[in-house]
Amino acid sequence: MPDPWTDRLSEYLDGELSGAERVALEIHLPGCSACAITLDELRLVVQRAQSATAALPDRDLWPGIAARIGLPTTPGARSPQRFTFSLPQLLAAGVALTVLSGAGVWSLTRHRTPPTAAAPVALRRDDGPATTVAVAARSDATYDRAVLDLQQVLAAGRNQLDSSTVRVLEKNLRLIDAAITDAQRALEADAANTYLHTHLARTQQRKLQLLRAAATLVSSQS
Amino acid sequence: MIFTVALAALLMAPDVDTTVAVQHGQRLQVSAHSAAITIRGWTRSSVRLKTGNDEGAPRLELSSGAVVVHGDTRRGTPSDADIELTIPSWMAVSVDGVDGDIHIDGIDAPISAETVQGSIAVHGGQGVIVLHSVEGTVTLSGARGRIDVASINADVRVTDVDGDIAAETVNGGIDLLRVTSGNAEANTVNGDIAYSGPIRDGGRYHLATHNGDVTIGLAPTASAQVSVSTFQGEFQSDFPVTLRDRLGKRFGFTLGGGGARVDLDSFQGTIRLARPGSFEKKSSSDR
Repeated sequence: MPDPWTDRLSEYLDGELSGAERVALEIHLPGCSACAITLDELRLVVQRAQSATAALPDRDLWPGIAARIGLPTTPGARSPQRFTFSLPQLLAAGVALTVLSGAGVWSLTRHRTPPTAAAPVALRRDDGPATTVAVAARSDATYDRAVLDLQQVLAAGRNQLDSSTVRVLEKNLRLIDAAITDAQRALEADAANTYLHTHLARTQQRKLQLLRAAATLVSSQS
Repeated sequence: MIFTVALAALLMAPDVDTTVAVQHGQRLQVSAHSAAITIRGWTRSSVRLKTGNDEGAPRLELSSGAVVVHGDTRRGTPSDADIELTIPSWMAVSVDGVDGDIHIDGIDAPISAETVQGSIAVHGGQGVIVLHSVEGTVTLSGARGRIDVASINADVRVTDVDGDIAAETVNGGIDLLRVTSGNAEANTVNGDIAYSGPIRDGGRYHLATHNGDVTIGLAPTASAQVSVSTFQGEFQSDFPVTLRDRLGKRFGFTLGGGGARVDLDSFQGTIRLARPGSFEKKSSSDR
């Protein structure tokens, strides 16, 4: 039987539970490792999102993003407002952060400048829940695009690397792809499994890390 | 005749042996393409470079902040002459290689070593320690500090260290044995993970693999909330535990007062709890 508190953890983090509910959950948490683990994972993603918010881009990219996703652009009228995520949205946001970071590093690498913290601009948006949905919904496409970009860097620069290194990188990418496929198939059978969601997200991050490392290698050898 | 003379000259040529005085605060930077690099610590305030004597011998340069050793020739082509350095044990080290092995011993300072095809073996180190290889094994022992060890296609082995640990590989096993850490993370895709060491109150330990076993040594006095997650794997314990919050193949249990967090994940391997000392001989480095 599903734990009734699992879906309330995001509200708890956001301070949206009533006093009685909050006390009841805090009594529940020490005895429920599943909720405790999920809560920690949610906190981690929120922390990452908050730290990302602090890294403001040089220019305001929100108007362009808003225009693409059909929201009004009122850059001067933003008021601080908190995000509320469901668990899948948070996991997707975590991957999206990694993707954006990966794409940023790739971009920096491609331009042969030292890699620095990328600006995850999509999460700078802070005036409405529509963006959180957009982040979740677009994360797969963003991830796929980042992977494709990095794979193209590797393909274009493979002659810069020793052939045995290329073979090793490709072998390990296949291993990660197989693990991603395993996790995706498992999720088809058990979509509510938080471990599988986390495992898939982490494995996708590993693929991006490996591709980023490969892109950096190509850059350093050229 | 000419060949014989040339061969004799080559064999008789002495190694280049250069020693320079250094000041506290200077660091060592080594970059080499094909050379094997060995660095040892000593108590003197000087750096000694020993290398083969040929036109491609590595060059040593001094600046106010660093001692720089270039493993390429003056014409910019890679040298395959091995590099042996003896440096003050307080000297921070940064090594960048491509296809040579890196061996560092007896340094009590931060260490950074990266290579593509070579392996890395370090004994000692203090502070931030970063060891990354793409194809080779990464081995670290006797270090203290913040430890970041990674390979892609080989094993990672860390023993007898103290500090925060992040260890990862893709196609290889990870051993974290006899470690003292309040924050340890090990992650691989295709390999086993083994961990032994005291579990600290407030500590966080996360061991995760996709295709491999996870084994952790937990003393009878361990105090931790343990979570176990697998999809197609199994769970074994060498001692009785009371499982709770069971949801398929995910569950948790508490040892002692539950002071630490231990997360053990394997998509399709066996997760095993063992007593310290009972499994180290079967760790991934021995398989």
